[in-house]
Amino acid sequence: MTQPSTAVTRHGLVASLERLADRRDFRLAIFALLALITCWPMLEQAANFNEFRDAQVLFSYERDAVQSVRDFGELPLWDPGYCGGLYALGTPQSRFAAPFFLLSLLFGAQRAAPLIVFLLLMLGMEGMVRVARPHSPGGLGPLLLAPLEGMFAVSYFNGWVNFFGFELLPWVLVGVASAGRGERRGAVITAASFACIVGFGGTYAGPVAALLASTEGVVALACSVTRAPGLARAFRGLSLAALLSAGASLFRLWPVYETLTTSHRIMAGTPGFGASTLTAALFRPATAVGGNVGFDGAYFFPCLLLVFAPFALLRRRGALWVGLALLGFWTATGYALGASPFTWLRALPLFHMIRYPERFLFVAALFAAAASALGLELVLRALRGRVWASLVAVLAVLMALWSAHQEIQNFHRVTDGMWLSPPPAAEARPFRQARGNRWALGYFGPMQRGSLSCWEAYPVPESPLLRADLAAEEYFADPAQGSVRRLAWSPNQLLLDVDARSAGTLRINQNYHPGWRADAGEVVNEGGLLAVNVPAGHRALRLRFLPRSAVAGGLAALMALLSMIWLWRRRPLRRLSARRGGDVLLAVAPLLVALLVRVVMPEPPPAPPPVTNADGSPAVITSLPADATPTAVRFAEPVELVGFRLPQGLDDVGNARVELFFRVRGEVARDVGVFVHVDSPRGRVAGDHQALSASYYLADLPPGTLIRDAFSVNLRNLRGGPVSVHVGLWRVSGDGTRVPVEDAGSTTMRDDSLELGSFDGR
Amino acid sequence: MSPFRVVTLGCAVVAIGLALRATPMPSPPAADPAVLTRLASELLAQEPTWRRAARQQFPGDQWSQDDAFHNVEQITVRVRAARAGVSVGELFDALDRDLRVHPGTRLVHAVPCKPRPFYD
Repeated sequence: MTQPSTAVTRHGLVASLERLADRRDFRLAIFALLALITCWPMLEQAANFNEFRDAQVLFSYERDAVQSVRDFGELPLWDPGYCGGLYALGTPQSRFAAPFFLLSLLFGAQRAAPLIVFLLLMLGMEGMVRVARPHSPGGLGPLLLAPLEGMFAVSYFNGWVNFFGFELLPWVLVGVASAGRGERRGAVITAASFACIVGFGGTYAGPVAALLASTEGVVALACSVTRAPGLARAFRGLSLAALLSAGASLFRLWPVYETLTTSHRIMAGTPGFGASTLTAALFRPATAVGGNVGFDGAYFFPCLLLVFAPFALLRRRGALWVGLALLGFWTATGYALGASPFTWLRALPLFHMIRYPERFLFVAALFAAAASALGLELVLRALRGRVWASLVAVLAVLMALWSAHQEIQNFHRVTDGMWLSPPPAAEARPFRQARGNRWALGYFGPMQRGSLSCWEAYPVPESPLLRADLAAEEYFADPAQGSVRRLAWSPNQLLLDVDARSAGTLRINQNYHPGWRADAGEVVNEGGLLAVNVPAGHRALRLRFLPRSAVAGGLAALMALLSMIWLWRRRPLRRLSARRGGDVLLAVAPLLVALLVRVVMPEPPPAPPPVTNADGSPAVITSLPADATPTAVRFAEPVELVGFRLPQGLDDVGNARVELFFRVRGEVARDVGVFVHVDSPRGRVAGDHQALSASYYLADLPPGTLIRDAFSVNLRNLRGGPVSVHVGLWRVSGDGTRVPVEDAGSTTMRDDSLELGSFDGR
Repeated sequence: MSPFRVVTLGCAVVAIGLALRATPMPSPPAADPAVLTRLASELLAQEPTWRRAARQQFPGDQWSQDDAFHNVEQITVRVRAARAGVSVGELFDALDRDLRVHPGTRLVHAVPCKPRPFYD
């Protein structure tokens, strides 16, 4: 790895610019000015309410967290206001578990959002400088441009403030590079920035940070084989960084891990973009039309200084950055070219949650900016002492100014197109669940109403027993068993006056989570609803939400923070402890604390909700239903169609429900899906699908599992006569061919399409 | 303090000042309860039609049907609220009140969130 090369003698204009850029106070002043100009329209509109559908949900998470702390003096662990109640730390898109939440507490969630953006833009620019300047002290200009990339403008438009966590990626790289040099401070910077990214939420910035950190770590290890500090110290430094990062972010990683492992979600489809589409996303300005920003300009990066990037290939570090930029672009193509790093990443446990490959365009921009800075530096070095150096420097400054101007204009254009409304009025009254509306969720929180209407990027465990028309939110399942009255309410605690004539089940109109605890009786999961089996008698019952993952993760993070402070205060910061492993032991302590809490604090494991078809019927069954028609069809892939059930006719809106029963016998190719053709004399309706039961790829089904694949098709336009159903397997991507039927049994088959029968289509 | 630090701090102060002094867009005045009740009744009368359309749009997909219903609901609520000069929040609240006054007449239970496998 190339070390700082500031020893090169500079003269004239280039030297003056460099000296200024070396001054942190100068840089921060420039960054603050740029961030202020960029955020100006957002700040002027800070009092208004973003109506974009995603903003409604993500903003509500932040608002509810602020309310928990400000109004109730509680940590925002449980959010009762959405989906019937969910674990706020465990839902991946909430962003309150980061230091920036202090701004929300101080100024309110609404007004703090642009201030958080202002701060993160500054941090992003300084982070980029720290990544690149050791290798390219002359190239400041390109580095300003990645943090102003169009993705951030679109993110603010959509209310995805948590996407600004990407601004901290450079800090992770800075930390890992430093840790790889055996420096203690590198481990602290890595842990602090990674924990901030994870705490700030989202399912992209964290995994991407881990990926880039791993890459930088491998590079550091490879370099250390032949250079100081040597392989052993580099390994120790990186281990320290990894352990501290895990400990510092456990408060969020653990709850999110629990959520995502218990909520089965399938990411189907083969998203991808051709090079021309991605180029348009990078180099055309964005426009907001009809409440949406199109894909053109969604990653706007009009960096004229990219012309210097090829010169970076003259250095190993530059070649790495150019390679990573190209790799980022290739990853962003997704499945468009058949295969890309995105398709391979999706096979990894953490990365299967990533749906949109185009987000890697930011990674491409980040490394392209760093390569441009290095390329510029090399050009200036080559021209050292000539008048051309000053001319190139002036040209580079002008190019940087033009590019920054374009990006800031893009920010303004996009944010000017936001759909804003006056903030809803707040009402002080008891909290109750309402039917709600996730598209307009932001209106319900201030009214002290929850929304049962729910959308998230994962299937939220939500009880079908939740109701929006109850006379009281707490009630006995059997009203004859007693009465209950609410004495006190807060998001994490309920105090109830319970008068039970006999032992019975008290229901709370919120979702169950194993982190709920009661001081009397036993908390139980009643069809997904929070309930308490209470003994007979009259008592005050206190329910409290205190999940083990929050306690263990919180203590681990606290311990990690103390370790980081201790490590930071020790001198010299640039060296690890003289005692072999002393620092690493300090970094292990938070994880040991978490382990200890896990042992001493009992909690039932989170129960995954049953996997169902989209119509609510169970997906996994043990035997073929009695009224299904058995078949014995075998395909060239190890899949059997063991039965089916066709409807008698259409329902009142013209829907026909079909059930197919599949069993997998071995490893099935990933791209195999089901085709369904419903034919009538009036035409055909297709019901093709890749995800069986809207839940599983055939490739993911454990061998031997019998699955009910229930789906419906709407045939209102084909009404009139008999309707026949043909099914089979096909390759969804690739050549699109049908999977041959090896044995159709007694089922009629033609061209590898099975005719299951017909029904009345009137 | 260096002039550059003054600039940085000045920018931060200006940013905070802008955010704190930002004025919200004007809100409609508090609505007449009778108007809200009438609007809510009109909206609720359309619910069966919206539910039916959602069943046709997403056959056999309960969550998507409910979500499509709520999308139509929120669009209609916004349009009616704007026409009548009432706030969107007040109209949603009126709908909520009506559901409690007439329990069991409409779909009021949760339809568990099951995001679709495909969005692309």
